[in-house]
Amino acid sequence: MCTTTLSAQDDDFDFSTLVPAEEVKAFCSNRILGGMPQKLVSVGYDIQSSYNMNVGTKSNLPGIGFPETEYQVNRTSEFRIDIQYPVISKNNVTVALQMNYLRTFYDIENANTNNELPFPNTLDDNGLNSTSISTVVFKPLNMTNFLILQGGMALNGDYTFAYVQPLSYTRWFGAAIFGWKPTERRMWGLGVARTYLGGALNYLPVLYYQYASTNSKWGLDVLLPSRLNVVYNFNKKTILSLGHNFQGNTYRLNALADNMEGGVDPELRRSELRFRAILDRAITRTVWFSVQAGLRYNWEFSIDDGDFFRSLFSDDPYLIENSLGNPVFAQFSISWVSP
Amino acid sequence: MRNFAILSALLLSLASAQISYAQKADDIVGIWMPSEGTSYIQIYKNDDNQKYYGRVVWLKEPNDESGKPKTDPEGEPILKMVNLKDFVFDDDEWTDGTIYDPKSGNLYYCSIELAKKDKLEVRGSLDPFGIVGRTDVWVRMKTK
Repeated sequence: MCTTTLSAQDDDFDFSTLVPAEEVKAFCSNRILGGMPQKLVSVGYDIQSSYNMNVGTKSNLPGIGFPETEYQVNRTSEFRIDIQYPVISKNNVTVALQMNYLRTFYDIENANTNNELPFPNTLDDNGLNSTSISTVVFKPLNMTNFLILQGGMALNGDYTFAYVQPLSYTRWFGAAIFGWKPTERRMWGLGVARTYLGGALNYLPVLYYQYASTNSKWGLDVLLPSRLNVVYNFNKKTILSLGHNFQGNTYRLNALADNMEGGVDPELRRSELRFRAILDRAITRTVWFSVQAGLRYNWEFSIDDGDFFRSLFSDDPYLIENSLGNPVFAQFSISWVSP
Repeated sequence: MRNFAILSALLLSLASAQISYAQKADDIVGIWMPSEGTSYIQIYKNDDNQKYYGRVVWLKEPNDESGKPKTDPEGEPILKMVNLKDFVFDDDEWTDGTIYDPKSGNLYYCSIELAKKDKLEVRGSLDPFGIVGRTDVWVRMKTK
């Protein structure tokens, strides 16, 4: 054996005759060719139009009765920060740390109407906070198969930073996906997730699918049931996506718990389905601006007593059932991306 | 006479250190296969500026679906493309260079370390300090 030290002029050499000096195993990468830029840091602002909120359409609250009350939500706005940092990024494993913060503000007309149930008050005064950290591991097994493992924890509630809720209300989520990458432009996988997508704890099957056409004009970005986007690249700097986003969490309502007797542990099951169009535009190679608009459909906004499993289409009664109107929304964000 | 002997020994050891440094710097020269195993990159030294460069010398699938030679998004042929540029050897690594991914058309900051005699760790990154990036392991190719 001898090492090849060919000069830059050795164009006639038959390189296909070479062999690796060491045993080497090839792995598939965690991204497809022609896929969307990966958002590493993203800061966004979201605003919804006005809608009605009906509180207490049904109640199982023992010993307390209160009338159904309708409120006008003048405005709901959200501020979000999403950070994804690749701690380890090698060809045989990728480990990314994610941090997400979402603050929701409510402006509710006559929020103090019903003093027996100060739920709209706490939304109006404190809003909702959601802070989560998670780790995502992409482990390629060979050139075709891979595993994606995710685990994380979230602290959600009406807490403020002056009065953060006890860590015993930390909620845990995770997912495991086994996948295939048959070509550079297509990868897919099947798995299971422990999730709060519908508001309450649930275990759901997951379908992961990423695709880009040969000319990179069309693509699919799928993680069902969480999201499905059909992607169209006008050019390298402008991308349009059409699809949905399904997201949810359970929120500890501290202000409500303080106001209730009998050891009730109120948790708001908040879940929404957004049908949206997203336009992503590159400002520089690594800084992108995004605007999205669409309809926010309320999946769930009722209150349970404690944290427990509830299936996505469960008819089991809630402690307090509420309903929301379905406003239009717009969101703006700026991101630092890996192209 | 004694001073002359000391000076000669000093110069000799300096020259030998210089030769050893140059040999170490040239350890990167050769044919390398990135982890996906679909291409070979030849790294060579440009004698004019003493910097290191790399070019694509072999593709597992040199042609696209229509039978034409594969190109980058700008339409430039990938085969023979110089996609590693301007590396200088400093403190046991080759730094200050760039790597171009001809598949995606993206250019990254890049530094290279010799992990073992026949293995390179090539780190492409978004920032010049290599904080946010990806490390690929390349293996040296040899004749049978």
